[in-house]
Amino acid sequence: MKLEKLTPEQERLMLEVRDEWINLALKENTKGINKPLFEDGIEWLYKNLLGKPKPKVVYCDSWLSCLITINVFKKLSHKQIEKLGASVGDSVRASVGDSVWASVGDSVRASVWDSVWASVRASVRASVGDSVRASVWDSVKGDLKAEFNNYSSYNGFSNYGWVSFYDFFERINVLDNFKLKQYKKLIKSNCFNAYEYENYVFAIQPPTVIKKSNLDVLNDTQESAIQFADGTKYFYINGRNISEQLFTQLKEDKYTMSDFTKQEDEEIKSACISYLQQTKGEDYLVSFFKDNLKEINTYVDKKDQKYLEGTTNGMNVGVYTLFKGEINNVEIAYVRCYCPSSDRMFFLGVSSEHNNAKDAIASLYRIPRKVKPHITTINRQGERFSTNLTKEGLSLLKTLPKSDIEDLVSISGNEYFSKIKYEF
Amino acid sequence: MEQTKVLVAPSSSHGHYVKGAKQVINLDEVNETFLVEGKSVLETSNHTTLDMPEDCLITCQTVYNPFTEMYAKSKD
Repeated sequence: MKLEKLTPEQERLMLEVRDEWINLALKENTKGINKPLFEDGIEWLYKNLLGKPKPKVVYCDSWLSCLITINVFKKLSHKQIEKLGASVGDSVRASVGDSVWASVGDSVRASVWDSVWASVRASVRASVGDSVRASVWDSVKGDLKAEFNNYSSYNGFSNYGWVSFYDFFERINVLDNFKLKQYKKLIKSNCFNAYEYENYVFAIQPPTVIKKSNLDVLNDTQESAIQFADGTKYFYINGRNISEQLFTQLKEDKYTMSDFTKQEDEEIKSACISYLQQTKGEDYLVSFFKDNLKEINTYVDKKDQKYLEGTTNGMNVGVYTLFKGEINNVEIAYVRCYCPSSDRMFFLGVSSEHNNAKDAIASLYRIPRKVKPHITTINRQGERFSTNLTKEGLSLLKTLPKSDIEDLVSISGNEYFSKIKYEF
Repeated sequence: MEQTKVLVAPSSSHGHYVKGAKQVINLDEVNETFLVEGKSVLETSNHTTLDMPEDCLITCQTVYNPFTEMYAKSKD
């Protein structure tokens, strides 16, 4: 059945389905995994898709405790307990991919695909998969790296986006697929993530606390934004994970300008600025910097409207302010600027030789000296620049020895702002 | 042959990935300079996706450290 257009009723249902999936992860997380649903789903996955006996299920209170438990099982397995068996993660990925994704995909190739994909899948994925699961992933992966990467790709929060998409088509009767129904049970059990072995499945309970800002990113200025039942905590400000030590320092008013200048990670600096803004307001932020920094100059890069698509389109886009000062007898200078995608504030270190914000911010763009005369346009995504060169410049670039590629130079503010187009 | 997803920001905690390019060549591992051949997009988790319709050069923004008096790759 080819669906050309959604009815008003279907459009309403589409939003309902989206919210149901987001609420399942972000509001029903405190109920923990629905064990009967999860174990039914695992039995189907192993018996029907993998052709293996039903494994034992071990529930773990956090991602970290799950990795520790697996390590303990591995050390004990040859004596005290049944062997874990090999990881079946790849087989699960292949089987679910072939059996579920492939078979349901063809059924809903409709002209409304794009709009539903954008409304349901993208929203759920952004709210649940990217914002929560991927953020926690970044925080945990350093802890027990070797085992970490064996996590399941078809079990847990990261799949809510695409499953919610097909759930909608099932509910408007475009899709009637037994395998999807079975698989959906597994996903609806609200398992945060899992590790699948031949004889055991380790299921991670969802976090008991998930706190987000109105920008839909993990954020809490009073407590940890993510907490698991075993007490494992992760601190986030404006979507950025920071250490408990730094969080405490900020909370106890012990974060100084000197700490700020020593911090090398721009995202963490931005998170600290955001913490001060959220908890103490703009005035405090000004006074935090004013003891050491003096505002010198502001440059506003007014962009054509077509280059603002995909940005916040807010008043801070393209506004650069140069600050200069001294700390411990060292001259310091920063350009304050804002991320066009998220409006996060950054203070980027520049040489104190600069006397205007335009040249100062341009000095942070660097390119191999030999191709500098061949720049046609510059685009930016965060701290990465994408530069287009003339045909001659491209040919030259391909012939340059490593020493010339490494010889980087900056360009003037006038040249930079005449060539920069998209900034995200 | 089309490459699927290539990391062009190895030092970034979020990563920036070129998707759909014909070829991505790492020209300088230290400064993280890449030549991207063919139409592609640049994706990352915390910024809008950037369309890159032509061959382009990917470089990393630097920041100045007043204590070492040197430019270094901007970290995120």
